[in-house]
Amino acid sequence: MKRPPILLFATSLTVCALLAACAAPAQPAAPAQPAQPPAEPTQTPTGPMQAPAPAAGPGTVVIPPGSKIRIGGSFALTGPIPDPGKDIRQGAEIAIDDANAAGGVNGFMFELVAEDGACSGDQGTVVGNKFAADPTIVAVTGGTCSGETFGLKPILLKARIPFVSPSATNPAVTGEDCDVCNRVALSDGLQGEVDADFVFNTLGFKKVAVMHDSSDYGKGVAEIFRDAFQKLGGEVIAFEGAKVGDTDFRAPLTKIGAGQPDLIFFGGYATEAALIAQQMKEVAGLENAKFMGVDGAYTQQYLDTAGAAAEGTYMSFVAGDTQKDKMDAFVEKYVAKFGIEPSKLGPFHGQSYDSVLLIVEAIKKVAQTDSAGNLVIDREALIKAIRGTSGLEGITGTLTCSPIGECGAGGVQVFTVENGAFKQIFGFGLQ
Amino acid sequence: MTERHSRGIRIGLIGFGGLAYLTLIGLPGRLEASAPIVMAVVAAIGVGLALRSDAQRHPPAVVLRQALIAGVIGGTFIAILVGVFAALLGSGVRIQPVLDKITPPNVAAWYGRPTPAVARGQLAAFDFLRPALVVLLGSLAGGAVAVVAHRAVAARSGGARVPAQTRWIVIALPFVLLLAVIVLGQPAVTIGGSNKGTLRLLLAMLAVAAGLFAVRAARLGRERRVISVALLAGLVTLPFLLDQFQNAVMGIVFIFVMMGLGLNIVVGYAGLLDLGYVAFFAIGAYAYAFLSAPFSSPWFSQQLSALGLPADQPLLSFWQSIPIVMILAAVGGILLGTPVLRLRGDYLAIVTLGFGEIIRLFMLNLADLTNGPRGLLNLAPPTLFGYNLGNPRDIFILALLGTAAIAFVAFRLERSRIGRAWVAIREDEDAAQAMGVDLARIKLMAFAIGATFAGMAGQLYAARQVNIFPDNFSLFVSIDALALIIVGGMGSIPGVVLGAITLKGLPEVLRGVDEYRIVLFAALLVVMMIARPEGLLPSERRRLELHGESDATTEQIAEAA
Amino acid sequence: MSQSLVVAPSLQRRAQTTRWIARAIALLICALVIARAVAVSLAESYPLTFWASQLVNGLVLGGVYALVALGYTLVYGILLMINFAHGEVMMVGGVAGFFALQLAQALGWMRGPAGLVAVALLVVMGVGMIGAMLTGVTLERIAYRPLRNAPRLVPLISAIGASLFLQYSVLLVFGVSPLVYQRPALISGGFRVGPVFIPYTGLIIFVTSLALMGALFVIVQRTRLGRAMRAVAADRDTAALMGVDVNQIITFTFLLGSALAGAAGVMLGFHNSVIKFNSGFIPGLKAFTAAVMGGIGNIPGAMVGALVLGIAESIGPSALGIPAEYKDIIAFVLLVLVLIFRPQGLLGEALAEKKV
Repeated sequence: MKRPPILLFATSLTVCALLAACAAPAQPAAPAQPAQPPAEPTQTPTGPMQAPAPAAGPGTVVIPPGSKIRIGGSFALTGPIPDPGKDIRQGAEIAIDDANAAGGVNGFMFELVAEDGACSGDQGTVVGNKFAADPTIVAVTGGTCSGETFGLKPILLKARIPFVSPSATNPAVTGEDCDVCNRVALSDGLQGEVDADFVFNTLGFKKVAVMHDSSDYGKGVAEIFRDAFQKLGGEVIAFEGAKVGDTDFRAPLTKIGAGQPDLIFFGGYATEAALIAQQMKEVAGLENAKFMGVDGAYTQQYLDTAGAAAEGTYMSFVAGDTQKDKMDAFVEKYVAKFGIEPSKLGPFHGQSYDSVLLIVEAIKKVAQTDSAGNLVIDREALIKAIRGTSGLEGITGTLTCSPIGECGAGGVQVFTVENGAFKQIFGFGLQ
Repeated sequence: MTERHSRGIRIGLIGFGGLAYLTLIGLPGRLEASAPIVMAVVAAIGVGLALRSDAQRHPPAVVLRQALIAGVIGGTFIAILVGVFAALLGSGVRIQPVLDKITPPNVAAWYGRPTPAVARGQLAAFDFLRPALVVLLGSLAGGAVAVVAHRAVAARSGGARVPAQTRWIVIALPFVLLLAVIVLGQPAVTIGGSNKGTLRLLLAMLAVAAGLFAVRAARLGRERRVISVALLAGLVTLPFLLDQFQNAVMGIVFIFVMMGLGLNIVVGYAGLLDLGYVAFFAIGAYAYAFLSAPFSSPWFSQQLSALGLPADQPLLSFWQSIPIVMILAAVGGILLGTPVLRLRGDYLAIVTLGFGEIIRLFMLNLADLTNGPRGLLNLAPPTLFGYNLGNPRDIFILALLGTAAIAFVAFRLERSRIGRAWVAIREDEDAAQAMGVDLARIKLMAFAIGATFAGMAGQLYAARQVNIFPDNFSLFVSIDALALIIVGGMGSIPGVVLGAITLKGLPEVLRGVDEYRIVLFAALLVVMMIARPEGLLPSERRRLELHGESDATTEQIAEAA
Repeated sequence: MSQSLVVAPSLQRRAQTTRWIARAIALLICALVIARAVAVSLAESYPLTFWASQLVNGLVLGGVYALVALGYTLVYGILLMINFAHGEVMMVGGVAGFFALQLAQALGWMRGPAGLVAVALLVVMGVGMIGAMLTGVTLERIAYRPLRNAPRLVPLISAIGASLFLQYSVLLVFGVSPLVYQRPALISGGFRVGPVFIPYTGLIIFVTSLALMGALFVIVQRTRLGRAMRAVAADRDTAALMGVDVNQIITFTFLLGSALAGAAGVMLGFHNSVIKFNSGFIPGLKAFTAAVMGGIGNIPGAMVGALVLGIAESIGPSALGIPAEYKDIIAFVLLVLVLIFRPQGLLGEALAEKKV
C-alpha cells in the first residue's frame, strides 16, 4: 500500500484535466465567433485593468498608436532549400519597406515577423501556432514549401488569420474548404501541361525522359508533365528520381541515356537542374538530348552553376506580363539592401513581394481608425478583402484572386538560354 | 617565463579565432550599436574562463599579464582582419558574394560608426584601432574577473555548506517558476514585449525541468510522495495556463518524450544502439493515416471502393486505432530486429540507420500507397464524446497522458526480470548468455516494446499534424531521439523528459535568434556533452558507474598515463 | 568469444537456429535479387557499353566514398568512436579548396600552360587538405578529447553537434548559394575508351584515391608513427606505458583522415561542380556505411566496401529494373546481407570483446 494513493491521485488528476479540457469550450469565450478556438489568456480581456482597447474582441486586431501592423512570415530559412527561402524572405522585406515608404496605413507602419518554417510540416505547425497565439499578427505570408504550408493551414484556418503563399505549388494548398488559404504561385498543374505541349508540339520531340528531385514540388510537376505528355501521344521512356542535395546524377543519366531520349525534363530546383544539364553532356546517348527545367530552377544560380552547359537548355517559368520597370526598381532596392542579386538565390522573390503587397492592399481597404486613435482591423473583413482582390498591379503581373484563392498572375512562359541569359521563346505574353 | 608568455599568446590566438568567427557569421552587424560592448564581454568571458585555473596557481600580476598579452594579440589580429575588410569595402570591393555576412553594417558595428562611413571609406586612423582596444579592455576585464572570482571562491570555500536550505530551494523552484508563468500570463504584465510568449514558454519548460530535479532532491518516502503529487498537479494545470504556441511546443516535446522513452528501452536499458528508430515512429504515423484518412491513399481508397466500403471517411477513430497501431509497430520492431540480432555496437547502428532510411524511401516512392512526397492529407484529429481534441492544448494533454502510461510501463519493466536481462546484455552479452539469458528473445522484446512506444508517439504526432509527409520522418528524427536520451541521461526516465525539453523545446525558444538558431543549439550540444557526459539527469546506476570510486581511480590511471 | 563460455545447450541450439533462419532468409533474398537481375537483363538487353559506363560511374563514386571511409575507419580503429562530423570535414575541405581556386583564377593561373594549371590544381587540393586537417584537429581537440573516457555514445552526440555546427556555420559564413567550382580546360571533358566516356575528373578521383590509400597503408604499416597508431588501436593504456604519446598519435590520426577527406572534398567539387553546406552529409553517411561493410577499422576493407557500394548504387537500379531513387535502399540492403553472413564486415577480423 505504498504507491496506490499517488497513482490514484495522479489518475484522478489527469481525468479531471481531460474533463476540464472537454468542458472548456462550454464557457463561451466569444459567442459571436463560433469558428474561434478556445480563447487564450493573452487574447481575452480578463478584467478592468485591460488596456484602453474598446472593441478588442478576438475577431478584430486593435493596434494602438505607435505600434506596428505585424504581418507574419513563414520562410524556409533552414532545411533543404535555404537559398530560395532566404530570397523569399528578402523579397517580402522589400515589400514591407515599400509599403512603409508609401506611408503605411493611416500613419501606421508595417512590420514583418519572420519565422523559420524550415520547409517542413513540423516546423510549419509550430510557426502557425506561434502566429495564432499572437493576437497582433494580422496576416501571414508563406509558407515557402507546400509541406510547411500544410502545417500552417489548419491552424491559421481556425485562428482566422489569412495567409498568402508565394511559392507553395501543391494543388491541394487552396480549396473551397479554406477561405484563409491563398497563393500567388501558380499550381503545378498548369506548368506541367504547358511544358508538355511545348515539348511535343513546338519542339516536336516524341521521346522524353522525366526526372524529379523527390520533393513535393518537383515530383508533382514532373508527374503532371509525364501524364500530359503521354496524353498527347508522346513516349516517356523513364521516370527517375533523385534527392534534393544530390550532386552526382551520372548513374540515373546513364540509365536514361540507354533509351536515347530527345529531351530530359526535370522537376526541381536550380542546383540539381544545373548539375543534370552539365553531367548529361558526359553520358552516352544523351549527347544531343535537350534539357528542360521548371520555375524552381529559373534563376541566375542555374546559369552560374551550369556554365556553358546551360546554353540551349529550356526553362519554364510562371509569371504575368511582368512590369519591367517595377521589377527593375525592385531588384535595385533588393541589391542595395542585401548586396546580392535576387535571382542568385531563388526564383520566387517577385511572388513574395506580391503576396505581401496583396496583404498590405487588403489591410488598407479594411483598416479603420477608432476614436482613441487605434487602428482596428476586422479579421473576417480582411479574409474577404484578400479573397476579393482584383486587378491589383503587382510586379509579377495583375493579381486577381479566384474564388478558391488562386491569386497568381499570368501564365507559363518558356525560355531558352542564349549567351548566358534567358530569352523567352514561347508562352504567355510573347508578341 | 616563456611558457607563460606562450600561454597568453595562445589564448589570444584562440580568442581571435572565436571573435573572427562571430564576425564572419555577422553577429556585430546584428547587434548594431551594442556590438563593441558585447564583443568586449565575449572576450572577457573567454579570457576569464581560460585563466580560471591559472588564477589558482599564480599571483594576480602574472594572470593579468597573461590577460594583457592575450588582449594585445587577439586585439591586433582582429583589428587587422576588420581593417582589411573595411579597406576593401571602402574601396568598393564587394566581399559579400563570397563571405555572405561581411557587409558595411557588420564592419561598421565593430567601429561603432555609421554604415556610410565604412561604405565610403571615411574612417579615421584611430577608428582602425578601436576593435583592438575593445578586445584588449575586454580581455583585461576577464583576467581581473578571474582573479577576483578565485579570491571569492577561496574565501567562501571555508564556510559550512547548507544542504537543507539548498534542498528546499530546489524543491520550491518549480512552483516559483509556475507562479511566474501565471503572472506573465496576465495581459497587464508586459515584461518581454513581443517576446513575452517565448519567455513564458521558457519559464514553463524550466518549471517542468526544475520539477524533475525537485523530485530527486526530496527525501525518499513521504516527502517525495507529497512533492511528486503537488508537482503532478502543477504539470496538469500547465496546458490550461499556456497559450496555443506554448502548448504546441510542449505537445511536440512530450510526443518526443514518448518516443524517447521507447528508445530508452532499446538503447538505455538493452544497450542496442538504434539509429533508425524513426522507422517505428513513421509506421505509427502512417498506420494511423491509413486508418483515419484512407481517401488520401490512392491504393486504399481503391480497395475500399472495391469492397463497397465508404472511402471518404475514417475507418477507425483515434482511440480504436491505438491497438492496431501498437500491434503494427511491434511487428515492425520484430521484423526489423530479427536480421540484426547478431550485430553489435556500431554495426547495429549503421544497419538500423539504413532501415530508417529504407522505410522513408518506401514512403517517398510507393506513391500508390502513401501518395509519395505529396503526403497523406486531412487525417482525423482525436475526438472524445464529439469534442475535437485536435487543438494544441488537448494534444499536449494527450501527450502527457501517453507519457504517463509509457513511463509507468517502462518503470515497471526496468525493475522486472526482463529489465534485468536487458541490463545484463547491455553490460556483457556473452556473460548474459552464459547465465541463461535468451539473447534473441530478450533483444526482440526490447525492439518490439520500443517500437510500440514509438508507434504510439507517431500516431499522436500524425493526429497533431493532420497532414503528414515522408520528410517528417527523416534521419534527423532518429538523431533527435537518440540525442535527447543521451543529453537527459541514459536509462533515466526523468532524463528523457529533460532531454526532450532541451532538444525539442530549446530550439523553439531560440527562435528569436532565427538564423543563428541551429549553430547555437549545436554548440550547446557539444558543450553540454563535455560539461556533463552522463547527461543532465542521469539514472542513479549510471551516475555511480561514471563517478563511483572504482571508476575514478581507473580514470586517474588513464590520466596519469 | 562466446565459444569459450559455457552456455546452456538449449540456448546455444536456439541461437544456432535463429542464425540459420537469418542466413536462409538472406540466401533467399540473394537468390531473388539474382533472379530478378537475370530476368531484367534478358528483358531490357542493355548494350555492354552501358554496363561499362555504369561501372565507371560506380568506381568514381566508390573512390570518393573510399577517401571519406578511410577517415572513419582510421578514427574508429583508434578511438572506437564514430566521427559523425567527418563528412563535414570533407565539406570544409571542399570550401577551402574553392577559395584557393578563386585565388588561382584571379591570378590567371587557370588559363596558363598545362604545367602551371596542374601545379595550381595541386595547390588547390593542398589548401583543401590543409583546411580539412585544421578542421579535423580542432574538432578532435574541442569536441572529442574531453570525452575520451566518457561512455561511447557521448562522443557520438558531441560529433552530431559538431556536424550541425560545421554545416550551419558554413551556411552563415558563405551564404546559402552553392559554391561553384569552375573546371579549368585541362580537366574538363574526358576521353573515350571505345564508346565508354571517362571524365578526367572521374579518372583523377579514382587514381588519387588508390594512390592515397596506398600511401596511407604504407604509413600505417611501415613507419614508426604507423606502428604507434597500431599500438594505440590495440591497447591505448599499454601503448601509453610503452612510451607512446597517445594524444599526439590521436591528433596525427585525425590529421591523416582529415587530409584524405579534404582531398575528397576538392575532387568532388571539381567532379560535381558544387560544394554546399550540406554537401558532406550524405557522402559521409555512405562512406560510413562503406567502412562498416568493409569491416570497420580495416583500411583495405574501407576501400573494398566503398567500391562495392559505389558500384552497387550505380549499377543496381538498372540491373534490378527499379527506379534510381531506390539506390539507397540497395546500398543498405546490401549492407544487411553482408553483415548477416559476415558480421565483422567483408575484410574485418572478428571483433574482440572490448570493441563491442
